[in-house]
Amino acid sequence: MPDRLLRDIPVRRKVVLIIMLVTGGALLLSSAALVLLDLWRFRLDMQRDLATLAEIIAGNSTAAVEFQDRDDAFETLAALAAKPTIVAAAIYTGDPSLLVAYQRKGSRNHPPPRRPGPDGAVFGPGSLSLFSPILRDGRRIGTVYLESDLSEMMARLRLQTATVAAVFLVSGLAALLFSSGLQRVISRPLLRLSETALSVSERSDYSIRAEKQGTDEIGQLVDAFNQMLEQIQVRDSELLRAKEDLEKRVQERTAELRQELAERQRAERELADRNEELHRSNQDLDDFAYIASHDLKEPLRGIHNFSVFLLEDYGESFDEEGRSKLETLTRLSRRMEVLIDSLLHFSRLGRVDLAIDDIDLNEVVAEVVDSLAIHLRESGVEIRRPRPLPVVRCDRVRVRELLYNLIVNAAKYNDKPEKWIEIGFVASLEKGSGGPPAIYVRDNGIGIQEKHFDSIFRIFKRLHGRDKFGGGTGAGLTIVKKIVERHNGRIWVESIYGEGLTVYFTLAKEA
Amino acid sequence: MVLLKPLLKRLPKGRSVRRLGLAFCLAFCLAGGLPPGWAAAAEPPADLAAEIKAALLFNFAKFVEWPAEAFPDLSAPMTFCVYGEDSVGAGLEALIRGETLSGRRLAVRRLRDLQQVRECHLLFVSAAEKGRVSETLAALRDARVLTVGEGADFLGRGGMIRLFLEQNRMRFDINLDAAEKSGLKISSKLLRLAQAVNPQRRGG
Repeated sequence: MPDRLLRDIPVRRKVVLIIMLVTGGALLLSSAALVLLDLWRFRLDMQRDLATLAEIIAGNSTAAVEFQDRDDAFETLAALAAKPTIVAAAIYTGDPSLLVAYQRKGSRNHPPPRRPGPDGAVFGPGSLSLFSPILRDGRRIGTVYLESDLSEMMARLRLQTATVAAVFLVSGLAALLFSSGLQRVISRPLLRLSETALSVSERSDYSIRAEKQGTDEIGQLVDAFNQMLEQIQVRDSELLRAKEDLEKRVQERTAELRQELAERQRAERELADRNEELHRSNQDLDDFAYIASHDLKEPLRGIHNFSVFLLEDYGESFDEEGRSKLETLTRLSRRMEVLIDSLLHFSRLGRVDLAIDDIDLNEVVAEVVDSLAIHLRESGVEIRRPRPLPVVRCDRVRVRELLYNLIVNAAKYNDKPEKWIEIGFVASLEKGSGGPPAIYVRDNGIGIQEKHFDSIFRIFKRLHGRDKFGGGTGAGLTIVKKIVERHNGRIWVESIYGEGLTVYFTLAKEA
Repeated sequence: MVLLKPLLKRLPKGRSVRRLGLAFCLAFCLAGGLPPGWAAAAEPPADLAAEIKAALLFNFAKFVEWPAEAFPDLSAPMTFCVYGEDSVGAGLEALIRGETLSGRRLAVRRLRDLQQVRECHLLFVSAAEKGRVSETLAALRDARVLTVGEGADFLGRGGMIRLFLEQNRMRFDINLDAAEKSGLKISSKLLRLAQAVNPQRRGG
């Protein structure tokens, strides 16, 4: 509660107020304590004095009581007139009965009681009354009664209250004067610090420093404040530096990125150029192969024809060995012609455009099997088709050639007594992706080793001897691969060596 | 006086009641005097006077200090002696029963002759023995005995306290010189109550 009341008062008034409250409170408390203590002691003194007086009277009145001499007893009591606070007094005999009574002049309203009460002092309203025994030889022979008013105590209380009030007033004024002067010791450094803080926050100038005036808590506060300002200043400059640094780094990075981008573009351009170059050189290679094979065919035909003419017309002129060599020449030239034809065919595949259409592969397979019917029957090969093939967009002629080559190969490389070829498809390679179906041609032939999975597609590559499994040019699978690639498809094989081979391919050519 | 006697007689003879009556009478007779109706009477009735005298004797003993050598030892009783007028002796006997003074037991002795007078501490010589006062006091010269008597010349003859009736009140005078000569200390309180102190000097 006092916190809230004092919170918004200026410090200098707060200090003065606190000092005044504390000094005032302390003064008031101590004064009250002193007054109360004094009154308490005064009461004790009063009781003691009254008891002493009663004892004196009792001592003086023993004979009067014993002899029941009222005159003498009254004389003893009459001496009390010298003490004006005693308003009433009495002496009782041991019977007990009132021997003599005394009342101060002008206080008739205080008659002593007719019979003595119990011994001891009793504070009544406005009075202190006392019964005290009259002893002679340690034996009680009567009682003294004294009644004193409290006027002395009241007068003392009034005096003390007035004194306390005066002291309170004077010391309060003195405290006010002193504290008004001394509060500056506390308030001035605080005010100065507060002004400094205000100017710092108004101007955002962290180089301002508060002035230190002492090493007390306020001095420590000033130190801490200055340290704080210093730290803020350091942080501020650090922040500024960091900001500049960051900007620089952003610029650097931007430049780097720009450079990277340029490099990447250049690389892409280069790649495109290379691609173009590659395409061109590929084309050149195709052209070259075509031209070379086409142009080579002409003289080769002549060599072949003339070697045949030579053998027919002048065969008798040669001996047996000569004729054999001439026949070898004829055979080799014939073979070379076949190879060149294959090469020509292959190079043509890269040159001509495809005629893409929706093709029912079932029809194509049926055509191929028809054309090979005699050969297949002779070889004892069974054709299996587990389910109808799909309709695929492709070049009919090329796909026919593709299937032809694969079926011929499958029939050829088979050493099993019961041969079969299965033609089918799996819906999609990537599940749920809607990719093109993969058509396969599977056989139970000799299979190939895994290390040869790639090399079988190379042109004129043969895994077996020239005359084994019916011979061949070694261009069949190369042509197959070329056809698949021209359709943007893929081709791969699966095989268990000695148990069979499966060739998969996809066709994804769009028009 | 005639009226008062049957009043006392009619009261039960119990000790406390008698004391009560005595106290009443002491207060009455000493302080206030007799009521107006009794004013015609010349003196109090004999019994009452004896009782008052006995009470006075007892009270005198309370305010007089004997020197230590007055007693053979610490447990020796204080002895009240009455010479003549047996009723005072009877009154005293009634008064001191069970009482002590300064821790001493009290005793009453009725003297028939003066042989044992020096063993007393307080001696009352009644007016009836007026004739033997001088003899008695002579026997007690320098003895530590408080002498109480009656008669105008009791003090003049060397007695210490003289009882007399004045305006229906029992009063006493004190011969302080004689008391001091015998080594007795009479309390100032008692002196204050006396009608006159050392009146024998004037008369002497």
